[in-house]
Amino acid sequence: VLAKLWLFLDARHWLLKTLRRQVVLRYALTASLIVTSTALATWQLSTRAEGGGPFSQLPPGKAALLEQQAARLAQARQHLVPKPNPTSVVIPTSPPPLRQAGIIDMRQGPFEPTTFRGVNAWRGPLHGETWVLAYAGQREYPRVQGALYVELEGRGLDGQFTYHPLGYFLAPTGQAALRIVGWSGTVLSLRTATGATIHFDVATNRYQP
Amino acid sequence: MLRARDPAQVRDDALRMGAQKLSAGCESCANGFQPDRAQRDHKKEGCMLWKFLRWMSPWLSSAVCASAAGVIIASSVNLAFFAPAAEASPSKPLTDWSWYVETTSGATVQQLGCNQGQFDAAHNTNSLVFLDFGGQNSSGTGTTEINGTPVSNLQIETLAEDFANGYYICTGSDTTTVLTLAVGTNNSAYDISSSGGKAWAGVVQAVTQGTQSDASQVSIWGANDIEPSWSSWSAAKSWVDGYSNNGGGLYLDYGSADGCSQTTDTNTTCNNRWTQSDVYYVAWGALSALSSPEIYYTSLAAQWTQISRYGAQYSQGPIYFEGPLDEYDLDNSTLTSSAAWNALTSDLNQYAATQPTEDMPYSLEVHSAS
Repeated sequence: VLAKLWLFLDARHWLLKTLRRQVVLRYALTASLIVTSTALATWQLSTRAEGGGPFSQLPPGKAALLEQQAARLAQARQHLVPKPNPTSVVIPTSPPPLRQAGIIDMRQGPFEPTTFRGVNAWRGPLHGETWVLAYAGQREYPRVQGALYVELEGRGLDGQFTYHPLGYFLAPTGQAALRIVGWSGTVLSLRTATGATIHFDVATNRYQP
Repeated sequence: MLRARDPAQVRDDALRMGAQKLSAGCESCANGFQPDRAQRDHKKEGCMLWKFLRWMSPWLSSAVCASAAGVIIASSVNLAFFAPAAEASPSKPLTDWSWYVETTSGATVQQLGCNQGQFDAAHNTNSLVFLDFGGQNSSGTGTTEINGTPVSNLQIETLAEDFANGYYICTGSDTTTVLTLAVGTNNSAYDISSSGGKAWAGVVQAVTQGTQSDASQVSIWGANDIEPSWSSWSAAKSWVDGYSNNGGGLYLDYGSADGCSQTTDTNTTCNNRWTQSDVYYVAWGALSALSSPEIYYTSLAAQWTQISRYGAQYSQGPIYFEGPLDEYDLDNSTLTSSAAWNALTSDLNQYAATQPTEDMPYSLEVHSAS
């Protein structure tokens, strides 16, 4: 009985010791996991935040161009000169811009291209200093239709231009985009994509057959 | 003695059955689940991980929690000590005003630059502004402004220098804010060619030279409102290459992706037989290209997101946009600067591939200068 009891106690002692050792080991491993994951995550996040430099995300060639630009700025800052007082700076007066009447082959215009798709434009006199800018093309929204976008162009006291938009004038010919192909006085000749020609008078803002 | 621990034994048995199924080539590993053999079988290296995991199994959930805790701690530490201020504030930057130039008045343009300089100095912020001078003429000697006014390259250079000088002077005692001034044309008129690109590179070089005295606060880029509907892809590519190969430096594409897909990134077609790949090239793929896309409607943000996605999947990587361009001042049926910003950022954030790692630095709105 004693021998069995001894064996039992001894085994129990061994078991408790082993279990205790394992518990300590597991605590140690868990702690080391916390430390390791903290260190790794900190390194990863700080690397990402710093980005290894301001342009490191970019393709190398592009980054090099931006770095050159930053270097130019830094170099210029080493030789700062006092700035003039804004009120003492005299800008040479520019002559008022010239105006030429005629067709302008450019698609860009003062409109949003998904609303109106420009084809070309015309600029010409209406009366006195008031001229007209007419952009031909296609209205895209709310429905697709050939149209003109018209603005009145005046001159301010400084000789520069002022603008007064008159809006869109939808063509009676349906969906085809318009192109300005000629003009006579205030009447524009417009050709549709189907080849038909119609006219628009910028003095009355009406289409003519 | 160990058999007396019935619940553990039951669990061991279950694990052993699983292990026998999973590790057919590791018999000793399966045997190793018998606790009294465990010490002897540890020499089998291929089984070490499995044994370790099994040993830790009662603690695995704790270990996972511990790792997660570590990451959370690290994030907090990182935010507190490493992250730059901009990272902590993912909001829209102040909106810079760009211009369709419809004037030849140096005084007018200088005043616009002065306004931007005062604004930047007051808010301690940098700005990105383009001046759009319209389309190039056929001889490469000038442009036709959006209102049809012809201007020479020399006039363009002088006007851009006036804007830069106005900015520099009006920042006053502030010497740290920076204006990036992009001198712009478009692909809707003539000279959409290599020689046109070369001519524009010459304009940008001249402006850079002419703004030397302002160079501590002003950088000069080229710019182009490139839109698929306005010219063929080959013509636009020739212009881009002519510009890049002749020392033009960086240029800003503030154009559109009209007709491109809003939902797919598989190089589908856009207007005028362009493809997503073509739009990507002129906006980002070309060495000199940077992008500030037109975001006039939410649909345009979706188009640019797909193009960036295309780049991430099939080309040089996603586009790091400078910021969205809106035109609310010219057409108040379009998105405001805040709405344009939100549309682009939320669309880009839909995909891991296009998610910006940093906030876009700018927000641009175009106005008319007459």
